[in-house]
Amino acid sequence: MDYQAQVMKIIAVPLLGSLLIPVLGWMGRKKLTGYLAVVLIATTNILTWKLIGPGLSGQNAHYIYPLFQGLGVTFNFGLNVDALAIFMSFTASLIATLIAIYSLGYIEHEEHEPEYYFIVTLFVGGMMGLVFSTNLIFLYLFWEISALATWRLIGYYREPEYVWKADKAFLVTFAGAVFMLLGFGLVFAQYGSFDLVGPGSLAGKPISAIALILIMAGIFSKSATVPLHTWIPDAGVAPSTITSLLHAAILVKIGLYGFARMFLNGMVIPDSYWVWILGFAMASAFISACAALMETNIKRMLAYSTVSQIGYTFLGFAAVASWGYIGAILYIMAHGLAKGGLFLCAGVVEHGTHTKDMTKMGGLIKKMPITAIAYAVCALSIAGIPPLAGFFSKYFVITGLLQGGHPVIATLAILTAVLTLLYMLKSFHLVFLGQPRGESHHEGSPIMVGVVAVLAVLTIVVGLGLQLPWNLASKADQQRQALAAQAIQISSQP
Amino acid sequence: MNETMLLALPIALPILSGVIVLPFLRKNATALAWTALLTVGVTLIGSFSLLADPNMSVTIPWLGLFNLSFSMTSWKAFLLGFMFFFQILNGVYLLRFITRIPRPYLFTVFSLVAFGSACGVILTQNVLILLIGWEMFLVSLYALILSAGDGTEPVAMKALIIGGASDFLMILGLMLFIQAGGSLNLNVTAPMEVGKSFATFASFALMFLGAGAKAGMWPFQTWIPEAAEVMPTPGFAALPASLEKLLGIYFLFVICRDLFVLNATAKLVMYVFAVVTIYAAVIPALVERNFKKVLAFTAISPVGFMIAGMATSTAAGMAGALMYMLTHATYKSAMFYAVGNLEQSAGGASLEAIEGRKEILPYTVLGFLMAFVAAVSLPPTGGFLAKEFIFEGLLEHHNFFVFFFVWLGAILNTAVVLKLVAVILSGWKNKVKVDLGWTFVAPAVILGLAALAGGFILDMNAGVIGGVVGFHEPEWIREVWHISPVTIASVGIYVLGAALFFALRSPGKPEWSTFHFLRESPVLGRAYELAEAKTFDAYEVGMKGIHWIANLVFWRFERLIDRVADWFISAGRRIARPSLSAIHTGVYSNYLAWVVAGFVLVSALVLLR
Repeated sequence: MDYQAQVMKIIAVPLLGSLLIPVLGWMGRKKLTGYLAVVLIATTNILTWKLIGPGLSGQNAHYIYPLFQGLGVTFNFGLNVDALAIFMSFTASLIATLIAIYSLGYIEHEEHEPEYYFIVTLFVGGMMGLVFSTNLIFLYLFWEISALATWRLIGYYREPEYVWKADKAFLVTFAGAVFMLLGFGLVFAQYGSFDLVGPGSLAGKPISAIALILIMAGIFSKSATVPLHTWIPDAGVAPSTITSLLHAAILVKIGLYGFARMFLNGMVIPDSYWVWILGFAMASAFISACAALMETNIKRMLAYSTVSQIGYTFLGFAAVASWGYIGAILYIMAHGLAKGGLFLCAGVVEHGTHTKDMTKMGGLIKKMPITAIAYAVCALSIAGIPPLAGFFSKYFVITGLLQGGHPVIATLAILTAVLTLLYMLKSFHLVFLGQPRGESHHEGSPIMVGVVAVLAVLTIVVGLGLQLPWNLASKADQQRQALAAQAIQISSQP
Repeated sequence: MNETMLLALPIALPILSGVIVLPFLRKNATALAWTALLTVGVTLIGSFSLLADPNMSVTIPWLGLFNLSFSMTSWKAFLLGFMFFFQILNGVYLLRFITRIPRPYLFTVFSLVAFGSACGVILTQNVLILLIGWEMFLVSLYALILSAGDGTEPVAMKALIIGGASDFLMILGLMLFIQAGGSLNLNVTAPMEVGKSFATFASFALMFLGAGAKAGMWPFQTWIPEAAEVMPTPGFAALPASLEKLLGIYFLFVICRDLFVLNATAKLVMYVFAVVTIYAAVIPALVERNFKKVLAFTAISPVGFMIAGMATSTAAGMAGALMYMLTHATYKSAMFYAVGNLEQSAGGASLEAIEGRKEILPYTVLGFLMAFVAAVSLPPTGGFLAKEFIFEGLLEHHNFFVFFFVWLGAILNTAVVLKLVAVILSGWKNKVKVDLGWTFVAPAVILGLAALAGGFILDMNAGVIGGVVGFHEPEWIREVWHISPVTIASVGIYVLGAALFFALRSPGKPEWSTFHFLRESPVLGRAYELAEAKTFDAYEVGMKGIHWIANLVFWRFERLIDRVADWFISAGRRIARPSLSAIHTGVYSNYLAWVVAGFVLVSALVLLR
């Protein structure tokens, strides 16, 4: 199979296709911009399907395109197709497609529709570029496309307070990215390469502590990990579709993916630093779970929940054990589907009630039964209730922690799971049960309700039919293990 | 049908009917009830060959790591048959009761899901699948509580959080068990010594707490009386009063027999929880004024007896626990159906309201009285056999201290149940009979009869129970009608229980006020006050603790981080704005200079390498 062409299409369709959207806007065909965005993102997703078969059979490939050679240095653009990249591109584009479809109902009455769809599609393109990139500089560049898109989308409503929140998100993530770039510079100074795969690449090579700290600052800021997380609850001022995109499909997942790509399938972290990463991840999961329990704004509560669950996923990766790694990858999908569903449900609720304050809601299950059921399913999945997708992922992550010899962290992770169950149930009760408050509300538009229902169904389907994503994730783990073996070989060379 | 289909049928058919068929009937409550009953009936007919020829098993590999193994044995067939019997009676009760449930659709869907999940718990040979079945059962319980309408949300949430939290404990315990070398597959794992290491002890303790919570063990029991008050009668009779206990004790049995070999410390832990559970339920039951809550309390204290029996690790103790599990489910359901009928005729479930109903609902009261005989463990009921077996197990290991506390608890329990009978039989307000219809009366009477004949039923199936617990010595108890050294203890329970009740009732005062003087007593009175303020409620205490911690972390830590971040960003904006304006001139040559500077920097980095 010609992976090269396929991956190029996956990156180019949303990235270049997004440029057509403003053209349609200028032509006065604003209504069509949404449909074009859906087509572009859905096509991206369909293109990833073709990679699943080879991914499941454990095939991987990488392509290097030299861009600059001289002074003893080679600077390349590279593409890497392996199970991890395939899993990530499929998951992100699938959720993004559903969000784009939902947007057709959600954004239709808003101004600046073409701009919205242009940036959303560009965002997806940035994500796809990042997922398949093998070069740290290109990884950074694609990452910053998403940062710019985030900034514009958070400030979508243009009000000064929202613009300030958008600036905050941009500055925190950008500052992190600058640190990360410095870290890349140090790595380059050490090994003379920015490539994660290929001859003379960084694969299997240990990096210095200072480079690690700088790169982790970038990853933590992008993935909204405590203490660099406060921009993400503030980002709740954006339209629900955007928060869903940030939390479920793209932005925070980039941090996780970047971590897995750079440090579990690339460079080597000194052993003594893993415990620090675990500590940060655990603290992030716990602190933000506490914050979610205290929040009454539905979108902020869900945002804190994302920070907590991202911490959980980091725990799986940082356990450096097969179960943890597979669990973390599966949780990217499980959390993406469920959190996407929750934010979109929040969008339906916000549309109907014109408030985000859960204490002013109540009894909505009578008026919004499908949204309520979808919310319940997604919330239970994130709370780790079987047989939903979230349960298995969390189970594997905690097993990975025990496998990696971290029983205390595993216990704290269980405690955090109890907190998750608490705040999720609390939100469901406040919003959907009890006596109705305020004016009479109505269910969202068919397209919006249809999408949340699909996400809820997918949450159940992935839980019951875990075999397929499991197979792909376990192939990714095999590839990780092969690289780890290579790293051991390198370190044992005189 | 092949073995896989046969084993899948009792799990899949009720669940599929609940989630696929019932939505089409959601507007018609009666059709929902009939369909639910029909589903259970069809499932039973389809499972006949499974129940008749119980030795089969299937193993389906899953994820390359687990085996989805299901099996059928004589013991499981016995349990499953028992569950079908319950579910059919429950379905019959529901036929007319359904119109009194505020959310009938929710109720019927999750009744079937709960039943299918319970069948899965019994049939599986894999602990992970067992947990999944449990969770589905738990979510069903939550939905069944909510089906009772508005105002039930706090109770539903409490039940789900207690159940969910205990499941997380169980999952952690399970993981530690696997780390210690155990297997998820019950058919391949060998019981592990609890004292082998700290990890095995922690694993046992966590799984014991998780399974105990399912059964309604202290300190996880506090949602049960509250649920009894709000849940529709068939919902409570089917789940917290019977099926849930049955499954919880079944899982405890799996832990004590298949997964671990108990050591002295583990047994001590179990005894402590057993005794505290008995008293944590029976003491509030003495003064409780709501009939359904009293019954709920008396559904908790037997859990203590069962745990005590299992902690002995003797064949007699184990057999007693299993017999008690079955007999308790039977008589407690009969009592709940009966009290559901009494509540309907009285318009309330307080003891005062239900007082003097024997003339109005004679058959219902008859059902209650038959169940009462089993509740106080008189021969020939299963309760009699079960308690004697537990006592035998305790005495076999010379656990006189535990024996004494369990025995004393049984005396108090007898006094409480006697009070309930006295409330129903004493006085009458109205002699006009109420015709509730056979669907309401039959379940109470049939289950009452089954409770009364429980000893014979258990005796007939002694081989099945003996097959799972092994044979015991000294075999004091050989048949239903017997006199053994422990029968003296049983007679003591009847005599002292009755004596306690008659001695402490106040002549001339209504029966419901019996024992109420305890509320005025110096020590117990204060304890009751504190209990009513939920001071001893582990859930309330836990929630307060969690909120305190969350509050502290949120306001003192998380918000502080946010303020610091905001300060840095504001400061950065203030500082950067002038300099950024200076370098961002809009002149092409300026940008070109920056590009060159960047190139020089990168080149320097390369050269310095």
